[in-house]
Amino acid sequence: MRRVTFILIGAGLVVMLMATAGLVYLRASGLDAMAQPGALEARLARAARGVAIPSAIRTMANPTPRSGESVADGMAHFADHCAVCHGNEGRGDTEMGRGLYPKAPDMRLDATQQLSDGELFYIIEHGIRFTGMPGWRTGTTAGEESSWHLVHFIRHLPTLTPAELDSMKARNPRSPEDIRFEIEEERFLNEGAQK
Amino acid sequence: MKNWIVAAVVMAALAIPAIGRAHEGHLHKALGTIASVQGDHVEIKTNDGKSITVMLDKKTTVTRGTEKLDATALKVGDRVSVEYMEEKKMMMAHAIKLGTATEAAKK
Repeated sequence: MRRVTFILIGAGLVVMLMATAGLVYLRASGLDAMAQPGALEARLARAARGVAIPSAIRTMANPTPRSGESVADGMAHFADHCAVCHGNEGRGDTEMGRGLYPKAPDMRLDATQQLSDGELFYIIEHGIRFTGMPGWRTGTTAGEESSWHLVHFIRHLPTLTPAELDSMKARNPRSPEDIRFEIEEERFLNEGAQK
Repeated sequence: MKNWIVAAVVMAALAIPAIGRAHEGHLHKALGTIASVQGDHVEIKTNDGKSITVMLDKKTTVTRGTEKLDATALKVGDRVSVEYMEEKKMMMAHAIKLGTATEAAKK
């Protein structure tokens, strides 16, 4: 009986401690997405992500042969779907990317480039909970192939050329306001039309 | 007990957001004509009648069509499209596109 009481008190203390820590977290962070995650939080989150990805997928090699065509396919897809947060260069230095918690990473760096093909594929397909990364899985063979092309393109990010960047800019989604501005810009700069 | 202490330390560490917040401004775009060029900043009279002063730095790109230029290409009277962002209370020019038509040429 005494042992049970001791366990119940201990469990109660643990719950209180965790509730207090949770409250401290909420008050200290304000759940502000503009903050940078601390080093420990980032390390724990990456470790958790590593554990969450099934080992069978983590060790998968890209089944789609790397070719100019596959990289170009991934590039077009990236410019259209991913660049709004990650930026065409994959630096994450975009209005959306900077406002996320955690920030969109610089995908040219080791933290991304050292992930296995399978890990990148899994992240693209499934997203990452509690981050801004959505899952893009469609459950189709074509969708998976598209994700594997993206993996090829992510490997290509550190060596993007200015010409490739220009071609991506042409594929970036634009709002009606952006389109209006571009038309006006073209006219103002190159046709000499006065407002 | 030791595990509780570890758990508390971890939670406390998570509760402390990193110092230094990446709070950049928004990217703005404007069309206008260069009113003055002084060293590292350019005053632009925008098409909607406002006047903005943007700072140039080594990251600022200056282009005319596909041609990449340096900041010395900016002249009073040039028509420009500028992309800029407020950073540390200053309007930093990210990209300046020069037009082929200039106010100076029209005079």
